[in-house]
Amino acid sequence: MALQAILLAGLTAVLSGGYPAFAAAPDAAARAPVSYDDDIKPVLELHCLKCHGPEKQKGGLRLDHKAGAFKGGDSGERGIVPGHSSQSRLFQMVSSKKDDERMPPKGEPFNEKQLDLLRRWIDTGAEWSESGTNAAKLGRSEMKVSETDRQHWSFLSLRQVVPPSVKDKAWVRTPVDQFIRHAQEAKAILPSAPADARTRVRRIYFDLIGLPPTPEEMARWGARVGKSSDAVRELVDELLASPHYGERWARHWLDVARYADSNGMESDNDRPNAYRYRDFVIRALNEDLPYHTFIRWQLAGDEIEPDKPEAIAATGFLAAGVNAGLPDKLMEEEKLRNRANELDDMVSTTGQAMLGLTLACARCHDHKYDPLPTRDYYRMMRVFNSGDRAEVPLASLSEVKARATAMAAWKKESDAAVKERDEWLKEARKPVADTLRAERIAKLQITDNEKRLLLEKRDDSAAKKLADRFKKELKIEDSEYVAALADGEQARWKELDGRVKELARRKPGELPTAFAFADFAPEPRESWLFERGNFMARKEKMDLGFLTVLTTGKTADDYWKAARDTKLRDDSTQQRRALADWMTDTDHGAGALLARVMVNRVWQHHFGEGLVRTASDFGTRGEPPTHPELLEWLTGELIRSGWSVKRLHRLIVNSAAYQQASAFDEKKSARDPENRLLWRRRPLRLESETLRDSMLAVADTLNSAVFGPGFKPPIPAEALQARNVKDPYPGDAKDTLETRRRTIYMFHKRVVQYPLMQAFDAPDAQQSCGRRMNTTVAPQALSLLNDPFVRLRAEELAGRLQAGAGPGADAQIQLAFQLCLGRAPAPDELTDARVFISAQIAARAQPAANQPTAAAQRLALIDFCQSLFGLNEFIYID
Amino acid sequence: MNPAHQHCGRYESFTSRRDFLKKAGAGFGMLALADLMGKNNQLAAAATEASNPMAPRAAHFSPKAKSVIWLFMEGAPSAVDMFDPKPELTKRDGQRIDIDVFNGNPGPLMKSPFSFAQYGESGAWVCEHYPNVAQHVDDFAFVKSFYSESNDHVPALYQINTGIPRPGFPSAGSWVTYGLGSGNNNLPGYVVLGNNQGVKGGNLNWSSGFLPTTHQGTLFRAGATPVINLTRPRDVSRANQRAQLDLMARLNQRHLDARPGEAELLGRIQSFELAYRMQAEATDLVDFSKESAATREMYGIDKDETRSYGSKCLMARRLVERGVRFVQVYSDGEWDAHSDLNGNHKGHCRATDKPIHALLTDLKRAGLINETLVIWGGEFGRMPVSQGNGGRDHNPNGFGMFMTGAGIKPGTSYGELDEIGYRAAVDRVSVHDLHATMLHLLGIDHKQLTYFHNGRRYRLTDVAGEVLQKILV
Repeated sequence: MALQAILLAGLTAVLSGGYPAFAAAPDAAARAPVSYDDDIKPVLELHCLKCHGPEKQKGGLRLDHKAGAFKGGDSGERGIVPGHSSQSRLFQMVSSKKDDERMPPKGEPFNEKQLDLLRRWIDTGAEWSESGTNAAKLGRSEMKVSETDRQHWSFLSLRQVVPPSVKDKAWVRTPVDQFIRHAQEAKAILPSAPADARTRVRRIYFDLIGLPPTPEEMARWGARVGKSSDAVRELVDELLASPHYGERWARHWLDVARYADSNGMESDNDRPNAYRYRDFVIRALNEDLPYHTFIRWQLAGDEIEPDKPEAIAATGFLAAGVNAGLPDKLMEEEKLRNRANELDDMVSTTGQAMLGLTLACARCHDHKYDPLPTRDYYRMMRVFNSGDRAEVPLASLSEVKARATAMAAWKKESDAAVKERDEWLKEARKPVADTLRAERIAKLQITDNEKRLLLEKRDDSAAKKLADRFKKELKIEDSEYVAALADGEQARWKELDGRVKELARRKPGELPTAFAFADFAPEPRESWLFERGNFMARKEKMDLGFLTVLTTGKTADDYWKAARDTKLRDDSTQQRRALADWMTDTDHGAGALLARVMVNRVWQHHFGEGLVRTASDFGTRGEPPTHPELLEWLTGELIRSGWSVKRLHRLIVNSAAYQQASAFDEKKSARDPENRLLWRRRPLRLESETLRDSMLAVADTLNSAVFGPGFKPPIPAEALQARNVKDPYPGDAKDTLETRRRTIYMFHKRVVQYPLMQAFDAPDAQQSCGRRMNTTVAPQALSLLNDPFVRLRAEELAGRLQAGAGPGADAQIQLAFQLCLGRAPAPDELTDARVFISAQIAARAQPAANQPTAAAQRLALIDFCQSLFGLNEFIYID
Repeated sequence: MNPAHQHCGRYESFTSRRDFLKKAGAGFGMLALADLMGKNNQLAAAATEASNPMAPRAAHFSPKAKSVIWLFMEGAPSAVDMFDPKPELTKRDGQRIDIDVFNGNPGPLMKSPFSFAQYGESGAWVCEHYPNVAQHVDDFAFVKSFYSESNDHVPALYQINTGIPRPGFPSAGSWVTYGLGSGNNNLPGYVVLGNNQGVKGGNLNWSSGFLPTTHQGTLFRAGATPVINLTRPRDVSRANQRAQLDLMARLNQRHLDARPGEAELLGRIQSFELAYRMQAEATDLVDFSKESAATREMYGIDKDETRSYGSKCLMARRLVERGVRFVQVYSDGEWDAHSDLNGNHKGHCRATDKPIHALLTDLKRAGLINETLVIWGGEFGRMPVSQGNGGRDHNPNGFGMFMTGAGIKPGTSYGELDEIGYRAAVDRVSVHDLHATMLHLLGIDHKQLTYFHNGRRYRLTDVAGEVLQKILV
């Protein structure tokens, strides 16, 4: 393969757009001798070294040292032939007139002046002095974010977009459809017909609240939805207003927030107050908290709204990652390593969850593909380095202060009372102390001489040693002294001791806390750039900073100063508030990208695929959006609506695109196999949580209690495999009312994953997860066949059928289909089910099985119910 | 471009099925799908391919090993007390040196409490408590100069298993089945025979990380029900369950008929059949009754002190014999001798010596040793200085392992620790090197086995790793 082909294939475009060429005016200065260091090296660095330098040697070519540059790349042609620019492959490539050959392949070409310098330098002997070039100097020069870097589509500021006009106006239900249909019309592909009413109702229920519609709900909505689009709008509004909406959609955000209820790593300590963050997310969604506020609170709620408990709990986002929780006594190196990893978790999760950027890549070196210098990474790390996870009081500043004051006052009073009592006793007991001691000594099993020693020479070292030996026996409690006192003195004791006890009862109560984040102090901690990510190699102190490529017209210091000037609390650095302001700033900061990433996440959960299919990578290596204009328009709508996520749902779910049938079409599929034009809606599989919740719901045993500490469901011993866990998972947990709550309230212990969830691709909460796997594996089938949870729900469903439909098999089957699938069984299905049930009854009633008829009937019905849970139609929603 | 070099990219090369494959991505079992479907062979093929990620796949180049058995000595055995005696350490016993240790408060240099002898033609040193393993040293390649990063067990365990000292990355076994599939469709491709007291850091040690979950290690427990959810509910007989599967298949088939083109649905139908077969296969697997009394005696299953590890070693043989690709055999408890190294290591030697000897002998007898790579080692090593009462603290700076079996140059030793056994000094070997070598023996170029995730292509060996050519034939 030719060199240029290799290069072209491998190169990543970082530069784009044409630049005007410098006027090539051959004046006297231009005839001056050309210097490698001054003239050539900077040009090579600018154009070539990204791909042909120390980090990468595309096509085997390396241009940052003499031997490599002269030798050339894999083609074997010499890169530089001193005296002959026309024979030098390097010059041929950069000066080529052919667009498909010229280097660099996509970026800014060499301008005339640069070409002239290079030509003259080679023609005059290509003097390349390596004096002063050492290994360190050979190292790649630090990445500079250029104007061209800022031109990547996702980094641009928000564009105004008008929905395009379409020929097929009748199809359009919301402006979303104009974009979708416009793209389809351009490719002459037709959308699918609307799905039938039952399918749409079911789809919208699962999508918005994560629960199946009851037969009554299905009857109510099914009758109307097919007839008017108003009915769909009403349904969507009703479900968005349901408290179950937040429970469903919070899960999506908790995935990206890598939320769990324990530390992870070896000890995996529980975090009993982590749930406050989970509850914050549910509430925020249910109340349609503006998305930018949702984000701001998660970064700096304690600084932005110090009097709002929910804003304080929101910083649980930063705290939610893995933390080894090492004891203080351990070696410094290990603690530093752990801290560096924790800070990395905070920086990279923030970048990934909020901005769809793979910031973690910049921990050891400048990002290889995106304009994210290591410097940006460490400047951002500084924000979090000034604080840590903590149990933070959930109360207003004044309450916290009031409690601190009350506590201090109480302590003063209490300490004084204790002191008064103890000092009084110290005096009062003197007359009885010797007597009591003598009685004790008398009882000791020692010689008389030793006893005398203890009694008469108690300051003697031998006596002290002896007394120490019998410390326990010689110890006299306060109560014993008191008992020996005179009556009047006893009364005084009662009075003094009573006051102490009374004060203990008046101790100010503890404030509730959240597992969240707090700064250490008002002054920021020193923070460093670690050479190649090595936390032992502190290279340079870092100032506060954010991502250069997303900052225009303002500096991090501007944000920080503004935050400090209007600060609402004195005990923190306001750096996180500055970060939050930058993050949500659509004019000078990251706001536009923040909104795009969220719009895409919402879209992804509605359709199974995002408009940008790499939901957590909006960088140059991510996929570009399938509908860039639509993404831009929705982003604008999100911001213009005051960052209302519910409004975004309405625009999407009410669209014709969303409500299409899911039918497969071979011809369309041949033309658009990945359904990028959205010519149909793809069936989506329920996630593990929705699957579990649905079984509980149809079994009618779902406990819909909301909020509060997580529940611990039974986990079989086979899955409790981690050793040395500090708060071990209970081995005897039972299936109870509490464990039949929605799965979002389940306690997520990091090293002990709940098997049903693990089998069905729930994320392991070690890192941010923007998109779940969707695997089809035998352990999933094994859990549906054999997991006690599934069997129990089948039993309950069977009971519900017997109670609700009476003893007749047909009526039971009818009801079961309505509950589980939202429809009546087809005649064939009814027959199959009937045959199955009677065969199971017969098998179970056989003499060998020795079951009475009623039991056999019940077991057969349970077998049937369990089979329904295994149906594709139960788990795949059209 | 050679498709075998594009493991991740193999999805990309099936353009027409790409969408489906990306979604389905995983599953067990090769089923006679064309029969089941009868009408849409391409769909069937797509479903089979996606639902059968354990189907054996061609390696990058001709492999030396088909399977790996990793004898995992959890808790970290001490190099200088097992295979790498240091006369200088003995000489300087009691001397204090400037050293930083995990738990602080380091003691003076401590000589090994064990005596050593040389074995075989290779003259390898082995401590007095491993006399049976010692008989095999002429088949071993000792690698004596390992180092890793963390001083703490769990990050070290994660590193030796996944290459990265943090949780959440795919383990070596997962990468291997992802790259090669497995030789048995009815069993998981990667099996973990766990520590009977649990493993520190739990199942993240055999996690598939960002790879499809099919590739995660499956933990087998001792006893009749090694795998979770393998036992039917109390009230359900095998025939009852078969009937359930038949009902599901009928209803699912009708559902599928109305949705032609949805290979994912078909893949899921197969996954139930596979689950059903797995139950039978696993039952057969754990049934040791067909093993001869002599075999059981050789593995030490008849003795309390060797029963647990012996059973796991025998199970390991039965697994590779059935084509399972990657087996880890964790020792029980921990070699974590913070005090009384003498007692601790003696006990662990006793528990593992005979079983490992039996496994190696048995693999040889069955001809399996020529296609199985066996690895012995822990997550790091131990300090040359004492801790507390005759113990040694953690040491990631230098430790040893041995490898034997397919592709390994017999009777070799590679690398050296310094003279007191503290740091890898000569030919230092990283965990990435171990992984690169393991993949190489399996016919995989570690630089080519990649998975695209969060904006970059990941490898088991990150951006490093050198194959240890000098220990290979």
